[in-house]
Amino acid sequence: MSGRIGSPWLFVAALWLAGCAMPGSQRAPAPVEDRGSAATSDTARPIAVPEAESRPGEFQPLPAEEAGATQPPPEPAVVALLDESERKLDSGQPEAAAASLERALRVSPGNALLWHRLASIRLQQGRWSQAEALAQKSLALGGNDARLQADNWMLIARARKELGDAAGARAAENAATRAGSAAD
Amino acid sequence: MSGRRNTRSAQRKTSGTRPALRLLLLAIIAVSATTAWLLWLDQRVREGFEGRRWSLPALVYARPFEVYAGQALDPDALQQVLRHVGYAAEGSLRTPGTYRREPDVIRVHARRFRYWDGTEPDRIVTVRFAGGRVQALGDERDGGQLGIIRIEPRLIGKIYPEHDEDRVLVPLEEVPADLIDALIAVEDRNFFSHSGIDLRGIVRAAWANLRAGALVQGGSTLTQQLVKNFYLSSERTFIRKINEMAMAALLERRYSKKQILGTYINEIYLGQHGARGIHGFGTAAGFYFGRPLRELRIDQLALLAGIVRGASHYNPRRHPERARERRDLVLRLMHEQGFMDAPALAAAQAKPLDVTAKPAWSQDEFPDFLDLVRRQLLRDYTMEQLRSEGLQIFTTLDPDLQQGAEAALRSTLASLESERNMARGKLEAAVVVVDTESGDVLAAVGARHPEVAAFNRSMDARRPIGSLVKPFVYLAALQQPEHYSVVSQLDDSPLALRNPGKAAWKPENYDHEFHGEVSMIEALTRSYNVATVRLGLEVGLDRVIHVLRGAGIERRLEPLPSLLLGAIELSPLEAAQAYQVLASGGFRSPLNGIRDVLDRDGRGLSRHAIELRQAMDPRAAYLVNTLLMRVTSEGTGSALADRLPGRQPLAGKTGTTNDLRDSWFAGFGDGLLGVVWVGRDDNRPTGLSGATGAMRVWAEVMERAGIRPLALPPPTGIGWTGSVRLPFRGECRTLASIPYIEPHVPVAAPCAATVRSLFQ
Repeated sequence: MSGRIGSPWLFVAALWLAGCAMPGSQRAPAPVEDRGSAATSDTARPIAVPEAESRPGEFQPLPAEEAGATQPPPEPAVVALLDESERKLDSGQPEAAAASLERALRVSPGNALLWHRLASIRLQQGRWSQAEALAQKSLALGGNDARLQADNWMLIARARKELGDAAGARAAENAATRAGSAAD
Repeated sequence: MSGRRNTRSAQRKTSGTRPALRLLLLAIIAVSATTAWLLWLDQRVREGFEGRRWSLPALVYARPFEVYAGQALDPDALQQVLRHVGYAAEGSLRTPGTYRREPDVIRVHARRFRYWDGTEPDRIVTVRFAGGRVQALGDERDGGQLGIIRIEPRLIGKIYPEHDEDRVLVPLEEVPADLIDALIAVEDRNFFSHSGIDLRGIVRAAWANLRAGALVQGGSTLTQQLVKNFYLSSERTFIRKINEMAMAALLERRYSKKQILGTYINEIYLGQHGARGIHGFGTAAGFYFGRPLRELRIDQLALLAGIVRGASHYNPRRHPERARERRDLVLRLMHEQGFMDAPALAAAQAKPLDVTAKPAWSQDEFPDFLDLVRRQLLRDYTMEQLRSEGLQIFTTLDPDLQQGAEAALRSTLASLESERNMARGKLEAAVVVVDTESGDVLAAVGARHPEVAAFNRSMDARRPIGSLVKPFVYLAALQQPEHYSVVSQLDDSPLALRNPGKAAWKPENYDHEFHGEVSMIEALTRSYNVATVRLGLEVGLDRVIHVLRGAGIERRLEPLPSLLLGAIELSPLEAAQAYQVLASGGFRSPLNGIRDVLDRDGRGLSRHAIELRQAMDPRAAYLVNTLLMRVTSEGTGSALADRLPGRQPLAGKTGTTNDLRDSWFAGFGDGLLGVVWVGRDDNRPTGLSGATGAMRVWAEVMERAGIRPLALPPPTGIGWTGSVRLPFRGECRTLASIPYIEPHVPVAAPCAATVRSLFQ
């Protein structure tokens, strides 16, 4: 099972690499070929986050309960502000809706969903590059939420299409499909 | 010459005229002169009254204080926040701006307050605490639960009109009736019936003064006082008095009592704050009591009405006894004239003055941060707009963090000087603290004594950043995962670089030793110079410069090898921008001191939204951040563990420049990033390294700020190896696991062997 989830995940990671590669490192081999060689190598593994957490090591992220020991997730605040943001969006005030999300982000900056919602408001406002950057941020924080990953890739695909980057948009769409099937 | 001719012609004219005609002529002249005079005065009255558009200073606020369930907060801290914005402890909670403290509960009658994105209503909120946290927030009236509320922000400064007046406008509808009663009782009891001048009032005042043998009452009506305040100089001449009476009468003919009273309330002079006059009761309420006018008690309103007679004579801060007597007199007059009954009088006279020890805010409190805000504002607004339109500016300042940072800086520099027997007062420093995700500047300190300093080092002192640059060199390498990993072997053996026309450049290490083959982990955590120069040259200066550009460094960067050791001069603010990008995992948010700006009526003008730009590969940023965590646990910053026990892990980097002239530390925990510079204004050596100087200040600042351990969730695409044996400082050690960018599993060179570089 995990193996079947693994290969699309790898593909996502490879596309991710394509999406965020710095201009300075473009001489690196094309990601797709990279993925191919990786997939055949015995080092290939699905995203190793859960695995890493189970392994003791100095470099590893703190277990969630320890890292957040002084600050458990402030759920009611985030929920209230998400609601407020939705209401403002429904009443045609996208910028006020964004402001509510930013308030929530100042309380809970690691919340990938909040970054995604902010990205979708920017998309709605036609601020394509900002929408993509925010969705990338959400992706970087997204962890294991495949549904959210898929939504972010879809959003990035739309933004890239609007920016005239057809190839980038296609790559993002594929990534979204893969993430989506992993979520099902 | 001309004088003589005039005299002669006048003589000729008058000599031939009959007395009656002369009289008529005189009368005509007198009437027309009077008419002209009255017309002129009327014109002035109209122009003054109608053309009056008060210049209102821009109000600069800190960030609002958010309160939410689950927040780490104790009741004392919340009480402190409430006090700072003028909430009074008052069991009844009748008026907004009051609170009631119980052991584990604070009930707050919150004020209505308008923000860019909506209005917080007037409501009573119950905040329950348990175990150092907010347990629940409830709305008292409907019993519902609230997710989050914000306490209105502290006023941290104003940007004043040219003529230095301070004014908080209050519309007449919002003026408490008790204040009007008090004014009528003490200043002008016939205000609503006289026509500008009150002859009875003058007689009564004269009689009262005669009986008392001193000037206890004035005969000027409110209208006359307004005229005096509005149009005339303060000289006391007969002509001026006549003008004042005439203008008062004209004012009453043209305008209603309501208009006159409304203007009076906002115009009258009520005190002095340094160079600035305090005009109007709205301003005075804030100045003396730290609260809005509508929240004041009757005794407080009576005091303000009493001050009208002589703001400096009755200054309640300087002459509390005198002010109290004056207040009690006003209250007694109010009682005598039927505005309050005897028990109310007794109760009001029994109240303490309750004037705050100093004005609730002062222009001197946050000068460095205000400087930053002003510079940012001037990109979007003219000075004229800032000085006159009453803009409301909501900033990102965390006032407690700012004050903690200022205190930390002062005390640490003093300790450093005394521990090391340095000349006192020569060390200077700057601190910038930012929110890693939003780019909000939470605090900026530009001097040891910001209140007297003219030089804001947080923005204007540009110094070489030394080893602060190194993480960006390593990042440039790690963004090529097919070539580099955190266990890549680097060469720290002697190096000589040809330098056309000059002697060869031979970089050295801080400890003046060479360490041979070292891992990237060791090279960055121990801040080896030679290995870093080799790595940077191998990766390419262009790539390193590209990374620095992505990190928001805008100044010109010369592609010279010395760049790799930090031969770039940056201000602490610029360095903070660069580290913000790292700390947020590669996403740049431009550092920003302003959230939004409203006009005087609360309409939104501009907003600085969170803006991101993906500037680095998040996976490479993650790898660098894991290395920066090692810096503070086993590298050059390891003393931090002793200074901040229980707050590990933290990430950071020390920086020291030639001959110990500049001492830097940049570091971050969960959501909070700080950059500190310590050095001397004359650029002489201080004897302090990054760790012994700036890091000490940083630790003290962050201790006070309550920094939390860095939770560094790996982004998608990070893999982990099994255990790895690795040389570290000449020994072999085992690391349980090493992160890498998938799928490039790193190959660590065998430990025991005198390892060769992978890239030779």
